[in-house]
Order: sequence, then C-alpha cells, then structure tokens
Amino acid sequence: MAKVEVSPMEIYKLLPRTNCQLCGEENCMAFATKLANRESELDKCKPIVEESKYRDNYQKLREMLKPPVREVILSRGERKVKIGGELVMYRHEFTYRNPTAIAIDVSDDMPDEVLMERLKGIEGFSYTYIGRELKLDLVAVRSVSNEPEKFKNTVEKVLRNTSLPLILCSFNPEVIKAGLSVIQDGKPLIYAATRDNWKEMADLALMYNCPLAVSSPNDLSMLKSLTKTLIEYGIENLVLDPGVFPDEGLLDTINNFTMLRKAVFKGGDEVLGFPLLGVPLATWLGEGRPVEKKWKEAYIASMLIPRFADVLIIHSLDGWVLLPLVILRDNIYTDPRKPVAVEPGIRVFGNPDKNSPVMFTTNFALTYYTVAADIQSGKIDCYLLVVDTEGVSVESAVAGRKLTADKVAEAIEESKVEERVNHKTIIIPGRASRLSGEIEEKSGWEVLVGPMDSSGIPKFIAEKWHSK
Amino acid sequence: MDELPLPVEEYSGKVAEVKIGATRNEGGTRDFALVIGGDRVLPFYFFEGSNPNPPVIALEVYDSHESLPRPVKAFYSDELVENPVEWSRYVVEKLGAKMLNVKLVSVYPETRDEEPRKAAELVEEILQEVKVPLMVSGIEELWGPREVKKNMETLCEVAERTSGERVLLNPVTLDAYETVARSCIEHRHCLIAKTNMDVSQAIKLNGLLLDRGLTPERIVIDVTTGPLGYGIEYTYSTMERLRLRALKGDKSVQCPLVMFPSESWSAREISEKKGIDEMEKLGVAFEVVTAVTGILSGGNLLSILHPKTLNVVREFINEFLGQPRISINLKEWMKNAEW
Repeated sequence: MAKVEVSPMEIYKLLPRTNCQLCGEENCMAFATKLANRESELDKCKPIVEESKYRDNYQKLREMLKPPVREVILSRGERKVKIGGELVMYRHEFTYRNPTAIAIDVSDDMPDEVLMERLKGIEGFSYTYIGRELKLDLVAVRSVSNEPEKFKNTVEKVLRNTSLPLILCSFNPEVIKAGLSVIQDGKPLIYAATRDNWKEMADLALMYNCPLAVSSPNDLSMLKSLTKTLIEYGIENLVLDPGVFPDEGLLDTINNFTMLRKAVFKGGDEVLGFPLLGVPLATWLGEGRPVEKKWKEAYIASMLIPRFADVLIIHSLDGWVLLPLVILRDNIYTDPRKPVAVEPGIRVFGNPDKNSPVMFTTNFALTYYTVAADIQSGKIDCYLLVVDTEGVSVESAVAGRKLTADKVAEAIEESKVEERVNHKTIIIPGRASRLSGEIEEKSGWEVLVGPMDSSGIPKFIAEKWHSK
Repeated sequence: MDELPLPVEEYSGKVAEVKIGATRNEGGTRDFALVIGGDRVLPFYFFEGSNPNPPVIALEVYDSHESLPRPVKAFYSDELVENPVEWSRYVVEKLGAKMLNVKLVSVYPETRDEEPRKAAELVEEILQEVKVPLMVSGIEELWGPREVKKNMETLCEVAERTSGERVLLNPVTLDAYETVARSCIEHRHCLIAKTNMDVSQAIKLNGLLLDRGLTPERIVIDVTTGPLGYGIEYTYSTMERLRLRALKGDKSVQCPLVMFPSESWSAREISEKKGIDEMEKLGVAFEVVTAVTGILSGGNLLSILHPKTLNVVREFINEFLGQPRISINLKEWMKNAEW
C-alpha cells in the first residue's frame, strides 16, 4: 500500500537530480519537498516522464506517491472535476485532497422549460466565501423513460446549455450508449454497472474511455466482487456506490461508507481504493412533503461530506440547502496544516497610491481572510496592517488585551507605511473602537472607526474615505 | 464472493458517562436524568461497535433577549422571550425539549451587569417550573479578568442555590477553575471544561480538574465551537483527535464532548438575507449542518437555539437508534420521476 508520509529525501534520490528547473522549482530538492507535501505533481518533471533511462525511477516514484484512493477525473473540454485521490482516513492525519464534487440531477422526462430552469440554476449557483467562488460541479442526467433516443435528446440539450461535466445515469447499457454517442469532447462518469449489466457497461467504459460507477446497494461483498471483476476486465477508473438509504437505512448508509474507507486505509484493501459516490437524492423516493425531503437531503449530504463521499448527486436546488453544503465542503477540505494565525505585517491590495487608505486587522486566519476577501470583492486599493494578536479575533483580542494601542502603534511603525502614503489616518475595526483615543495618542495617527463587520468596508470607503 | 478484510479496531479506552440532572431519589427534584457519553468507538462506526447513549440536545433559553436573532424571537413571540420562566415551560411542555441551556447573559459586565444573585434566583425559579435537567451558562465570551471573575461568581452562586440538582455548569476555563471545581464537587454538579481549539489545552485543563478531585463522570469537554463557515474545521478535527485519544486509552480526556451549533446564527450569510423567512430557513440549515458535523466528530451534547433545528436534528439522531439491517430493498432512485 502506498504510504502517506514520504520523505523528500526518498523522492529526491529517484529524481534526475539535474536541477534543470523545467518543473518550475529552483532545484530537484525543492521539487521533492513539494511532492512530499503533495503540493506538486510528478509529471511536471518532463525528463523523468520522457527519457527512457529514468523509466524505472519514474515507476517507483509513481508507486511511492500513489494515493490509497485513486484519483478519478471527469471532464468536459477544458473543465475537469477531480474526485478521490485521498491519502488519509482522518482529516487531521494529513489533509483531505479533492473536495466532494456536487452533481445536481435532471431527467429525460422533464419538460423543456423545467430542464432549462434547472440547468440555469445549476450553472448560476455561486457564492463568494472568503475570496473563493463556491460553485456546483456536475450535472447528472437520469433516464426515467428508459428510451435511448429520448435520453440522447436530453443529453444533447444539456450539452448545449451547460459547460459542466456530466454523469450519465441508467442501468440500461443501450441508454448509456445513446448518451455517450453525442458527447464529443469529454469524459462523463457512467452510472452504473451492476451485477446484471457489468459486462456491457464495462465495454462502453472501455470504448469511450470513461470512468465507470459500480452500484451494489448495501452489499459490500458484491461491490468488492464487481470491482475486482471490472479491474480484471481492464477498467482503471472506477467509482463505488454502496447506496444511500434515507430514514432507518441511514445507519447502514454511513456504516457502509465508513467501512469502505477503513478497509482501504486501515485494512490495506487495494481493490476498494476508489472514490465513493453517494446519492442523497434517494430521499425523494419516499413519502412526504417536498420541504421534509429537502431537510433530509441536506442532513444526509452534510453527513456524507465529512464521511468520505467524493461525489454526491443531489436534487434540491434551493440556496438554503446548497449554501451550507458547499461551505461545509470548503471547510472540511481546508488543509489542517494551515495555521490558525497568519503572518503579521503589511499587505498591499490592488494598486494603492499616496492617498490610499490604511487599515488594520488581527492575524486570526479567519478574520484576516474574511477582511481580505471583502477588500478584494470591493476592488479597494489599500494597505492592510496585520497586527499580531496571537491568532485571536478582533473582539476577543481587544477584551483579552491581545490587541492594544501599543501593539497597533508598533505595527504602524514597523510596517513603515508612512513612507508609502502622504496622510496619517488609520481605519480601525469597528469592534476595536474603544481603543481609538489611545491609538491616536500612542501612534500620532488620526483614527477613523470602520464598520463592525468587514462586509461594510467597500461602502465605508466609498462614503467616508473618498469624501475626506 | 469476496470477503471484506473487516478493519475492526479494538479500543482500550472508554469515554466516561456523565449524568445530568438528579431525580428525587438522587437528592434533586428532576423527573429524570440524562446520561451522555460512554462511547467505546467513534460515532457511526457500527461495524466496530455501538455507543450506549445517543447525543442529547439542550435547547437554549436566555434571561435577556437583546442578542437573540430575529427569526428566533419571531418564532417564540416578544412576550415569551421577555419571561424566561414561561419560555422555559413552553419549550419543555410544547416543544418537548428534554434539556435546557439557561443562558445568563444578563450578567455580562459590558451590557446589563446584573448581580449573580439575581441570575441564580432565576435558575431556582426555572428549576421549580420545569423538571428537565439543566445546563446553566454564565459568561461564555471570557474577554478579560472582569468577565472571568464575574463568570466564576455567577457559576458558584448557581451551584450553591441549586445544590444537589446535578446541573451542568458552563463554562469553566484555565483562567479560573479551582473555585468552581470546588463548588461543583461540594454541591454535586457537573461542569463544562472549555478551552480554545487546541488538543493540548483541553488535556491540560482536564488534567487540572481531575487533580482537584473531580471525576471524569462530572466533566464535559468543550473545545470551542467554530460554526459552519467560521472555523468548523478546527472544531471538527480537535474533537475527533480528542475522541481518538480517549478511545486509545488516554485517561485524561475520557469525557463526553459538548458542541454549540447555536453559534451558527452569527454567520453573516444569515444576516445578509432580506426576509425573516429566508433568514430562518438558512439559519436553521446552518445550525443543522453544524450539529451533524459536531455529532460526526464525537459531540455527545448539542446546545441548539432554534426549535426547528431541534426537530430536524432530533429526527436525524432518531434514525440511528435501530440496528444495522442485513439488506434493504431499494427502489431505483433513477426511475423516480419527481421533479
């Protein structure tokens, strides 16, 4: 089994050690360090990929760096969605790699206007969270009619109206084949091979060189047998679906997902080392009002994001269902090696000049990134001083005396920001307003008290700074 | 048929069971007590074993309603939130809450700066009116020495006046733990040991409390809740690491974990919403997702603010009370024509 912890030295020994810099790094040792931290990819080393004398070392390195859960790529033109590639069972052991991809379904029996409305909703969903754009990843096209022609038509419409990669869903190989026939440029995920159709589905996956999902509801032994058979048949890119069962079946659902991952990471099972697919959409099968189904879908999806799902198929398109899910996914897949505090010091945003504003915030990572994102989204040119508060937020730092007038004065002086601007006015966070008098006294700078929440910064600058 | 190599891990450690609330037989006046913890495996690792007690939800009531999010106030009505005793009765009788978290926010020096004595009297009144187990929260934002001192005085006052009721006192921190720990033992309560999101801090505080004679059966650990979008990943990993340590035999941290999904309501995504209905839906969704994540990382007790969250999370927890089934008939989700 591949190891998670690989030392840079072990990697370095197998690299060409010519320091050619083709990978973009200073030298081979720097590249080895990046590879060990999983911050770069082996194939960036052109010589090792292309030159035959390195072939053995290339194979050894590939094996050494191979994640226990295979990385599978769904694509459409230039757009790629990577799933899996996981290195660890628990997030704190290293980091989770590829955020759970979220697919929203459409079906071949939807009237055109419903279909278009949904595609617009999927494509248009977007939320800016600490400077990152959170979006949906995939469209899952379901065959309800079981008619190849009808499915093909729907896939064509979907292709015309979205640029997202697809999942083609049917247990009928003829239907899947019809869908695949109209996809020119891309590799959709085929859903799904079962014990009854696996051979036909495998042939399609091979013919079109697409990843293939394997479905075996609540039967992990069958799932493993099928997976093994498909590997032996020559399929490399598989995705495993152990089933999602709402209501009383939730216990089996999470038990299965957990068992599959533990089999790989702690049991050393090499057959099951593939991304996992979950279908919270299954909640829509049961009785009940739509709003109840949406709540169920929301909690099932939020349960499966930290618990090992690499791709989810969801039906609800409501913002209140999807927003918490895309934020949770972003949070859980944040690298835990990243510290809670950021480096103190001066940060430059946009192209500030001598008249641009100077502000400060604390070095608590969440505070800093939130403020930075608000400055960027407001396209403000300014200087931001990051004051060392030992990684504590503004409010707590003021009360806990970790943010004092002395510290602010010190930060202003150390940053030499007064050489960059021709004014001496500093904007302070609204939550530090009680320090304003003291800051003026200690630093000799005039204080302008900013908004309580950094989302108000753009408006504040527009109204208060430019009028000054 | 291929057999799975069943990766069943055997753990040598076990989380202590903390009992909250004392019945008449036990020297209190509660109708029932609640037991949390006792975990032998990580949450939802059913193939390795099952944990004896499902997570418990405490619904929050406040002695001062100024800081309540609008949708919460709207759900209860203005009259109700102005009367914490009636409010408590309502959530127990009408909403079926099994536990309350009475938040004594009136004692904050920065705002109302109410006397600890007065706040504690309210707790006594609530204990007379409702018969469920209580968590009582003093000052949770311990910004400085003033807050630390006031919190300690408040919790000690509550401990004394509710002697024998086995109240869960919240929070006890590294800044001032000795007096409250003593009072907790003397009056037979339990407490929440709160640190920042740092495994070593949690170990340190727990060690100090154990040294002072508190048993693990009286301690619940709080590593500080970063809610969804605001640090949940730190809380998630800190809790998971602590729980793994406990199961692997570290006796200094074998205590149940508490989590505060109610913190979710401070998210700006919620306050940015225009209508109150939209705010409520998103707020409850944030609270639900934070609660589910908390349960997955080992949360045994959840403090929740909105009654609708209570319903959804209770439903989620109840789904897991059965046994794993051998097989389930699945209708093909694909063929479902509902849209």
